Amino acid sequence: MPKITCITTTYNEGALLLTAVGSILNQSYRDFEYLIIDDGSSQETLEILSRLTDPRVRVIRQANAGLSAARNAGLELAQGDYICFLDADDLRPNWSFAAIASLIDATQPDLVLCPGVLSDLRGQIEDFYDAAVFEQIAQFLPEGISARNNPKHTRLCVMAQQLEPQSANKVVGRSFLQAVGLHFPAPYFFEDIFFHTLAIVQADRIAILDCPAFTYFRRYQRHQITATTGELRFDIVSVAKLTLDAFALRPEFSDLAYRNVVLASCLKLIDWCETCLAHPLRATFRQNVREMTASIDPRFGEIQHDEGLSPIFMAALHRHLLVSNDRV
Amino acid sequence: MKGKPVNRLPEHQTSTADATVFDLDDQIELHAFGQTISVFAPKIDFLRADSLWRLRHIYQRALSTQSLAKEGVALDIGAGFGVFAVPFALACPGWQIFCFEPDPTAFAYLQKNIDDLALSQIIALPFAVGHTKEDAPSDAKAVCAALKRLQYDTEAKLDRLTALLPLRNHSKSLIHNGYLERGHNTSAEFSFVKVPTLAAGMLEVLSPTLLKIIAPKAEVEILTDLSQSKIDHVIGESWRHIPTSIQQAPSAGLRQTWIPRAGQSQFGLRRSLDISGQSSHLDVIVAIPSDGDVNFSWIADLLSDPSMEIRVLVVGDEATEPAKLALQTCSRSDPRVRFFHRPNAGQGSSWNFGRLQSSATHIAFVDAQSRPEQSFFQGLLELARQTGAEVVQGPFYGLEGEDPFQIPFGVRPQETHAALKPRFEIADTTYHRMGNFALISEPPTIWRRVYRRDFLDNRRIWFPEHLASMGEFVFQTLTLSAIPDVPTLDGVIFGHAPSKPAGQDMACCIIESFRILLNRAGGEGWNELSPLFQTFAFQLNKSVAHLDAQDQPAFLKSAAELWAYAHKLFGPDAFEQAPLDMFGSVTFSEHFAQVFGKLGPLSTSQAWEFLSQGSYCD
Repeated sequence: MPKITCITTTYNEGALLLTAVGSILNQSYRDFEYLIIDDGSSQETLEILSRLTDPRVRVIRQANAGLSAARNAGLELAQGDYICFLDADDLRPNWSFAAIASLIDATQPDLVLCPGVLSDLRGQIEDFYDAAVFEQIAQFLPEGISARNNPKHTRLCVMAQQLEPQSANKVVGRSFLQAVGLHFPAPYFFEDIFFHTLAIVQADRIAILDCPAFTYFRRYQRHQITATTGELRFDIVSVAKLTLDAFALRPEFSDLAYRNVVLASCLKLIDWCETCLAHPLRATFRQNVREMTASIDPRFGEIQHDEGLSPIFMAALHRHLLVSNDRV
Repeated sequence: MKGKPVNRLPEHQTSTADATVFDLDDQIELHAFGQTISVFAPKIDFLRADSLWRLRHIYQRALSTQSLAKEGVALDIGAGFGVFAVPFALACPGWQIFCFEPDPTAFAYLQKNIDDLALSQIIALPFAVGHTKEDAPSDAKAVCAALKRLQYDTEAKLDRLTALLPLRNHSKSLIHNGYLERGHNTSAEFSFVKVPTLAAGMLEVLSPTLLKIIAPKAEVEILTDLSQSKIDHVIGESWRHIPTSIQQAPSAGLRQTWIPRAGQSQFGLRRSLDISGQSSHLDVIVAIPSDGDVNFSWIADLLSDPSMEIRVLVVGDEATEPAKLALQTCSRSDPRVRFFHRPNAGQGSSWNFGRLQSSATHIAFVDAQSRPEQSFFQGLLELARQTGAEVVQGPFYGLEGEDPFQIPFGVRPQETHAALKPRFEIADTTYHRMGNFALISEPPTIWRRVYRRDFLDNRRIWFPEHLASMGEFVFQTLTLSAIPDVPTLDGVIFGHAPSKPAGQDMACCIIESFRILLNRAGGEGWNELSPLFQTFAFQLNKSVAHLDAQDQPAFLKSAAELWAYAHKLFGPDAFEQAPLDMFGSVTFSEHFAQVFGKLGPLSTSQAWEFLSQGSYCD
């Protein structure tokens, strides 16, 4: 069995896909398999996939079922001890698997969290959006590994929850995933917050990588889901509801700071989705959000004024809880 | 504990190297490329901090965005104590790395680190790298042979290679220890040294695929010398302007590049893998009118530079006098000029058509009233490439008087609202950044700008062809609403004659243009709407004053209807900066109240539907 399985889902990326594929096949670390789940692409992408002859690559085709379903198909088929994801238009630097494997060997984690790099629309190269949170974590946990019995562990989870819920920033133990039954919430988009929250809260051992392991590209040359202004954005409300309900069943729910940060991270995404949404849809979206927040465990409405929560998270909490204050 | 470096320094540096002793306190930890290692580094705070900053913020980030092959040859020019080469060699064991470091102290540390970590794939050379034109050795063949031998025989004698190289002037900073720049800097801050210098052109024999360059004041010469080499990755930092034309040779490798300008992280040489299939040049699309006085001598001026960087697409009716004049001016035999015959096409239609024929990464749209200075578009293309900005622009002024094409010498435009903005260097001029909202509220000046083609395509921004006028206004608003700022070049300018007075259909075009914009703003989820609303009020009030009295009520009613739809769609908060009294018309207010009242029970999406339907110009 390979040490690492990397899963990429494709949907009409065309030649852009070769960037992601090349970056994986050029990894200096060789003990991995690469699963490409094609989610119903048209001919151009299929032709590119048909030309991949590296024995470490497995291409699986399915009828279009959405990103979450495609990733879940990959999870089912993965054979590696650890699983990571890479979007078809992104890239992993060629040292990333070696660094990840080395950290895994040293710490035996359930979950590795990795910093990343952002290439923005103007080609400006910066640290990924959550670099400041990684800095805080490095200060708080210089040893870079925490187990559940570590007194710092809950606090680490609270900080980690504030990282961007990106699939590329996680490497997850396959046995851990099977044990907790974690998957992506098909058929929804904006699915990452669910996986992010439940991976962090359920992992017994969390390790932090200290070098960038992926690059997220914002491009004009391709339409990205994160740029949509349409009804797809309503998915975030459903995904937030699933996330909050699942978290409410966890023992960690009793920790007020943790509860706050999980709610805030969902609301932050909801706020972002609303600001990207077409105006004619916004009223309905807000109504959906109100109904969603009214339906979650009322204890989510208690706020601890914790200095550890960044202002943008705090603002999201206040904005939404004021709306539904009468219920709290 | 102390260690001494293995001395591989050539004779002229032996005394300094012998004096270098290494204290274990001199070690610092490097975290990069997945490696954590302790290396020896000179005990100079500035040098350490500077090197570590560059490792983390430039080298590691840049290589995180590029897919490296398993094997390759890297040139590390300005290697210092090995801050890049050492972790890179550990992370990429299939790569051979040639380090060039002329400073004896830094070189001694570099060699110590290589030896301690047994990094046999690094070959350290105590040379500066210079320009073939000035630093060519007397026996180039022997230098190339010696360099090639180093690839296979690491024990090859450096002294022999060193003896073949000319000694060239460099200036060493006395304040920032470790900073060495090309040339003789006469400032008291510098001391003068002569160092053996290898002409960059010689490095081609090593077949490099990655170039890391820290060579203050020698960057342009080195990159020029290597401009034909098949290099896939170029990273570093620059201390002066590096023209992007250096990177444009068609056979020069992938040239994925990230070299920010020191102190200006938003500016610098950048290039990522191109997947668009577009050609990296600027197409200037010239819409030719069917009549009127025109002058196209500027097209010939524009093409006086023989490079293929700027090309011209002329679109118009070939049978008309202006088109004939344009064709006479810009020779048909010049492959950089193409003419497209489009009878009876409006200006917006011609620009759209020209764009569809273009394969360029950058596009400009100009008209018969244009008179750009000779280097105007070269400057804008350079600014666009160095900032990566979606839209860049230059200053302009209006051409008036009997001869509209006579540029009054000595007159330069004053962009007063930008006077206090910080200026940044670019080539021999400067630029500043103008906020998009300030520009939206100005009259359209789309012809003084250069646009990224992928941006226009991604945002589906075209000229509305059904509008006899106001198309430029729609285009300007759509482009500027989608970006944060516009880098604006100082210096060279664009002359533009005032447009013809508006025709009788101007009123309906104003209404229709705002319908288009409000519809786009609603569908695309614009969040900053005030500039659009302010401009609407400004245009409306201006137009009313020019309309015949009998036409005013219908115009105001149509405008009020739009305003009511917008209120319903965007909600009251969006109008905090745009109160009803901006319009100063009772008719407008009354009709607004009437329509808004009718919309009361309807949903916002129905208001948007109204904005999506039909045209006020039908």
